[in-house]
Amino acid sequence: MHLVYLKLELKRAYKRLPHLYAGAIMLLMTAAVIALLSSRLLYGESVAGTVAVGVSVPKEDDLARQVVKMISSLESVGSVCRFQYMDREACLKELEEGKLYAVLDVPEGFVQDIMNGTNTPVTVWFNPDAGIEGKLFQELTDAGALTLGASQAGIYAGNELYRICGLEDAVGDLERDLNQRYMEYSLQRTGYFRHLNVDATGDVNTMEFYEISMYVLFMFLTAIPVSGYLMPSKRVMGQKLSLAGLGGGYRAAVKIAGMGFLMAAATFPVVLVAVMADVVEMSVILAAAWAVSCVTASGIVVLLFQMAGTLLGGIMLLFFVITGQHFLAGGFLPMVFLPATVQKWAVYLPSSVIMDSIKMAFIQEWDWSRLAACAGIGAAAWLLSGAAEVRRQ
Amino acid sequence: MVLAATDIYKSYGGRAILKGVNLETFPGECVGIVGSNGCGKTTLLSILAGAVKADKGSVSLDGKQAGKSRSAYTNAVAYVPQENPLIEELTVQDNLLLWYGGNKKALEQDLKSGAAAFLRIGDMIGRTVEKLSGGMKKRVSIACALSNHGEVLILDEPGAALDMECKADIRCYLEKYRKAGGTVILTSHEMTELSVCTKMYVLKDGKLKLIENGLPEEKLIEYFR
Repeated sequence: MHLVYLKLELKRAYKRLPHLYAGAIMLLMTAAVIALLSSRLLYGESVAGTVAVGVSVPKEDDLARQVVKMISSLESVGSVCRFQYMDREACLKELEEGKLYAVLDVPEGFVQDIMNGTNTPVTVWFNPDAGIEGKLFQELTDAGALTLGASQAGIYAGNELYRICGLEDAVGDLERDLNQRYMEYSLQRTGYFRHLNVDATGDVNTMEFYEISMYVLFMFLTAIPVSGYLMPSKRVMGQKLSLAGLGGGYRAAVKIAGMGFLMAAATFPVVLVAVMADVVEMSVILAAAWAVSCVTASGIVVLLFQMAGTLLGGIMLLFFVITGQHFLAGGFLPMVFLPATVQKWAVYLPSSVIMDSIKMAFIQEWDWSRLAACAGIGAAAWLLSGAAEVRRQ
Repeated sequence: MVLAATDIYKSYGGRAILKGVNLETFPGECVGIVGSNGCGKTTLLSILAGAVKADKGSVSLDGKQAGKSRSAYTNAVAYVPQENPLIEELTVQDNLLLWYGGNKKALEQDLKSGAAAFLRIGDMIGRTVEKLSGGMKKRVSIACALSNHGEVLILDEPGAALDMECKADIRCYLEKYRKAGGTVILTSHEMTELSVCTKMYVLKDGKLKLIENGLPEEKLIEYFR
């Protein structure tokens, strides 16, 4: 009878597949609309990426133009800034219109002045309304000016010393040698610093983190279109099944198996697309993480519906509890940005534990503690569901 | 088989529902239990069926305590609760197969010549339960309960919300079951349904009282007051 009941519950679940897929498509469409609206809200019509900077160089000053081009070709500058060359008036006009985040106004004889020690400064104009991109460029120019100032001070000090010692003819050689040595030492010095990548998303990159987060949220919310399946069985049905030897624990386990099957059916196309798009590698780790996460999420969903007892109550509880704990678990905003007290406890939340176990598939490394924690939460949900089923009966 | 309930007590939330109920039934009997709404009829039947535990007292079958030989007890007692214990999304066949433990041969046999045949289950075997009428569901519920070929049949208001034809069908079946040596225990508020009973009890103030069988409705109501 145990097997017959399991078979029939799976059949019940199977009959819900059309509802599941229709709901899943609606869910994906809603998520896409929210994502689009959010990006528009954050960035408006502008293209997020490099900082547009206007550069005004005197027409006849080819040397200055070459120096600016050389600076913009540096990877550290090019990855952040996009230099646009135009005359001073056009630059300031575009800055005022918000098309540019900053303007570099290079003076006449800029390079020659550096060489003779006059140091005519480059005027930098910022747009106060440019937001974070403008501030980023301001920090970049300040840092650049400090570096340039430090290296110039060394060269000027050497020049002065040579002149005092009557070695004016050797100043050229000195500058060349200093430049060479400065580059050698400064480049090597970077090796003395410990490189530590601080990443708010843990052992996966930001993109992967949000892919995992959205996958977990999607998996939980696919329970909404099949909420009819999750409704606790009638009290008399429970009584009759108990009489036949099918206790509350077994019935809860069967319900979790049915819901797990539905979650697996909903997430399988997503996993398949991810594998085909090389987002994640097809492996036993992936299969294990996928299966365990489906069962654990299913256990939690079944428990929530057991606690609610009604269809509407179950849907409300599912939505608010899942989205709430997903936020606290760092599903929307990485946990490091949340208050310390929240961080301390959030690691035990279902979303956090499930996300951690799925990360295994991305980093392609077995982590039994993560997998055990995930399975443990599923087992706890099963025990509580079974107890709720017995209590309700 | 002799089903006996001795000194049964049951309370819910501090409210005493049954206060020392005693009942004994014998093969070939149809016992009717009447009483006002909320007097504890369903609770008593649930205890007799083994679905609910009594706070005090015991239920036995041929002298064997129900709690001690649970599987033997549930194999002998068929219980049809007031609400139909059916899985609505599945077919009648699926529901029956659950209670037949997946034994298709036994089900086919009963569809040909058993209780399921008498209840005309074959006509609706492939239909989804949620699409059946109330009467049809009740017939399926009885067929499910009788899958164990139990010798004691307990029914909680079997005719509630059924049409005349269905009620007549069920009455007819109960008569046949009783005459074949089975024991029927039922609760009802309808006189026609109670007409099949050979013994009548009234449940009042948590106690059962044997009353004269075949009393007219006016006389029966007096016992409720």
